[in-house]
Amino acid sequence: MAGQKVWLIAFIAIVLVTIALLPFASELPDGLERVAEMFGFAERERQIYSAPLKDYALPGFGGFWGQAVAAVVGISVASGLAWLLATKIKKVKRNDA
Amino acid sequence: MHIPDGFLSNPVMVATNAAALVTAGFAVKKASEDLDERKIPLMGVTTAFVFAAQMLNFPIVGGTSGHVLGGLLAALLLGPNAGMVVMTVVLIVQALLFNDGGILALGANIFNMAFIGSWCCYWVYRWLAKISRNETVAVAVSAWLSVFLGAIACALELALSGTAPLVVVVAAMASIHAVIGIGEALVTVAAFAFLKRTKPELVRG
Repeated sequence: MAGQKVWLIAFIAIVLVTIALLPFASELPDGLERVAEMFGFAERERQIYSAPLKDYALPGFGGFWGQAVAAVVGISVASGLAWLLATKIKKVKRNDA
Repeated sequence: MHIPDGFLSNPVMVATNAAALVTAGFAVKKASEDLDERKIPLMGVTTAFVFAAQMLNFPIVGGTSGHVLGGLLAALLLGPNAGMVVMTVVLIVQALLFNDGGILALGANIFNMAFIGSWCCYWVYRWLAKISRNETVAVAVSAWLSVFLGAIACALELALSGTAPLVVVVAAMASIHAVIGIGEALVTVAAFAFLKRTKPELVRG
């Protein structure tokens, strides 16, 4: 159990540090966005699907708190999925053996 | 360098989605064989780190920003197969929940950042570590390459799609990501050194 606690602490630390750093994150366009503006193909972007937390913001919750919720949700969902997948693929192997 | 929908032609989308399906499928299968069971929680925490790092853009020159990708670090900690799985999971969540990267362009993004940026660059790291006999140099160079080569692949896909002329788009993507890659190298070297000192058993020998 003590061994498992380390992971939970690491996970919480990642979430808290990310939220603390969010106000300092750059809003400037990223490399590809910049290149798309430079060569005039940025307007080719087509949104064929609207994500629930589009652009890391909570609808109706602008600014920092929306981003913080997006960070918590994104980190938790991605981490949980990877962990589940890892558990599942290992289990399949154990059953095979 | 997450490609949105609308930038890629149909043939490029078909090819990159097929390539992503094959390489990610292979990575999942291989990871199920070689992932150390004790590393399952580490896989969850590494994914958390990669997702978090990709939210935190830092400014570079010329009114542009970049973020750490984390693909090489994931592969260093978990091996190239589980590393690629981590990157793939992050890219899928970014596209589905946050519109970060397109849905039809997901294959291209997985190919560029998970297959090239994590899986391939891990083997570059292994080769560099062998010929240089200097682990830190090997980590730094392969982390830099993971961003640089991913950006070149992205530029080639845009050129093949007829979205931008080949030479200029490759030159622009390469020069910007050569700078962003320095950030990737610094963070990867620092994180790897920190983990190696505090939890040496986590780092694959």
